[in-house]
Amino acid sequence: MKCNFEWLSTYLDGELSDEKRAELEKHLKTCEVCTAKLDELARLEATAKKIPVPQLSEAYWENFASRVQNKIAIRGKQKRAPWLENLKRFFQPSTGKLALAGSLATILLVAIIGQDYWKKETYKPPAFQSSPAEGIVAQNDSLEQSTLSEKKERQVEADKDRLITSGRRDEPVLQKSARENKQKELPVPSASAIASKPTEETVLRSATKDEKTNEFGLAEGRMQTESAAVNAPAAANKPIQGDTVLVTARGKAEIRKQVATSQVKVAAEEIEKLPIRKVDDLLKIQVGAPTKKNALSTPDSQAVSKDGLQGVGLTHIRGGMQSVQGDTVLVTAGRKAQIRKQVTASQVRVAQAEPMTKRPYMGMPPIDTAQAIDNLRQIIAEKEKQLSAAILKSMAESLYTFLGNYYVALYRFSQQPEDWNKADVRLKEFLQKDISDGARQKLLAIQAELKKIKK
Amino acid sequence: MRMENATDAELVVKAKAGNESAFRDLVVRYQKKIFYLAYRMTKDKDAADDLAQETFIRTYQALGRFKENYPFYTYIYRICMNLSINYHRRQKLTLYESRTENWEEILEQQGIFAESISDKEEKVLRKLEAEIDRLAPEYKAVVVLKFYENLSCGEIAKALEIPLGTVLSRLSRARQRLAKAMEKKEAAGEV
Repeated sequence: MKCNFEWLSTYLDGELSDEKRAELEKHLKTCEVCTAKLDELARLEATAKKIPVPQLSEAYWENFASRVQNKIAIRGKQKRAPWLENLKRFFQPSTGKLALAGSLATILLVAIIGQDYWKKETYKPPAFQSSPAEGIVAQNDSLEQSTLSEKKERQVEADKDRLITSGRRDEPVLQKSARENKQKELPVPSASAIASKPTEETVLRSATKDEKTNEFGLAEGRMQTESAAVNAPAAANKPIQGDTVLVTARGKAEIRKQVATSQVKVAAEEIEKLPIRKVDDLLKIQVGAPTKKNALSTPDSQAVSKDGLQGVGLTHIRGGMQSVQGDTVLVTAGRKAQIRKQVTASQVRVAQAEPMTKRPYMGMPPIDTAQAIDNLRQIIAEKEKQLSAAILKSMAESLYTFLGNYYVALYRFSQQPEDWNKADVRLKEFLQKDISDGARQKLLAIQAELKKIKK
Repeated sequence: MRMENATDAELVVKAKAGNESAFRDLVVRYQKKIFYLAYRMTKDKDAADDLAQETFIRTYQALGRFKENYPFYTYIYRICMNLSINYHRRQKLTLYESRTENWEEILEQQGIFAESISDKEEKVLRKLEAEIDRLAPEYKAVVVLKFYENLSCGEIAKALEIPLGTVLSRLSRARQRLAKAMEKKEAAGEV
């Protein structure tokens, strides 16, 4: 048979089948590698058994059961409905469970309502023969007049908003062109559901402003509940503007795409329409301002901040192609590597310019003497405790040498005569114990060391 | 009434019936085993104390569900091991090298000691201890139960609720790994 180390372990455990065991034993007679390996594995276990464990006081063991019983009693008193406890624990922050619960709940909700929504999506609204106003009148007489005027007012406002927001490049202008949508012939295009970011409330507005543009004005934070209430009878099963709708992930992605496309379109149009035709003029102010390329590496960029241009954001006029010092810029991995190389190079230059003495300490950090003394005392106290609990002779012996070394080290740092005395006394005490020759040799060496460092 | 000679099963039956001192006897009987089991798994006295206490509390709470024909020690070992493995997972990202150990190393490297701190055997023990500690908790659990508790592979399988084959393969892999690591250390002259 070939060497099979898998079997060796199982053989040691006595779990090899009779057949395999016979085969392995036969193999072991001839294979030195396997014999050595088996020996090694067996030794491993024997060695591991010798690994010492901390010795605990009798008092600890005597109190152990009482402590358990106390805790059980305390918990019994605290015990409320277990499910409540579980719930509480589940919702404790920092466990990450909350996030999990949240996402699960969201998925569930979206799944339930989204399913419902898709059903509604396939619903064909009653075809309106005339204007939307008539449609509404037909179903709801009393609300019609006020609604129309309200809608118009709102639309004017929305138009203003749109112009204002589109004037500022840094704010998102959510515009939606519904022209390409299937409900072109539908006067009230309430069928289009638009969902924005998942965390934000989705605001839908019907594009009642004018038939010729048929655009949705999507402004953040404006709830159009009235409009929703009015349109409700007209298209009871459809989500209408102002409704918060839950959609499936696919639906959301689709809507996002639509919104993004229309945003780009509108943004392009708005730029053309902008009264500020001075984009180029503004960019001229930037002459001398650092480009993205040198912003991080040249000290000249200070000049920009002197001009007061830093962080003004003028550079964002053309879609943020340029950045000034202090800006956080996104760079490619390649660029990052380049910047890193530059930084390293300049560090090397600085290091070369500095005298060697100023360079930071290389290799091991210097020892803080006070800290070292503190640590050594702590270790000694711990080991002394272990020694007093040690039963095995070999264990005590290794602790003698260990402690001897530590007492000497302590004196080395503290230079206190009482530490020297303590070391001396302890070493003498250890030497008087019944110890092996090897341990005695070591202790004598430590004692010699102690004498040496006193001079 | 003395219960020192009662079997585990007898004590469990009494504890189940609400006999507090029977449960106490069970705790006393297993406290050292459980504490050191937790200590071997965590290498931390405080953590071992916490885990050992928690093991008995959970045992008490679950006594009602315990089947008397099942060996009590495998049951209690399982609770302890599960707690220890969970503890390990929580500790995964933290460094569990104690400050003391770091100091020993620093001092040793700087030649503060007249002799090296420990003799060869102690060094071997420490290295092996560190290597066992480095094993993944699932492997460590098997090794600890096998090496220190002397459980048979069948008992380990019961205690950890895993198939016997898994116990054997984990033991084999853990042994190979430990042997390899110790060999490397020896070759590097560290031990």
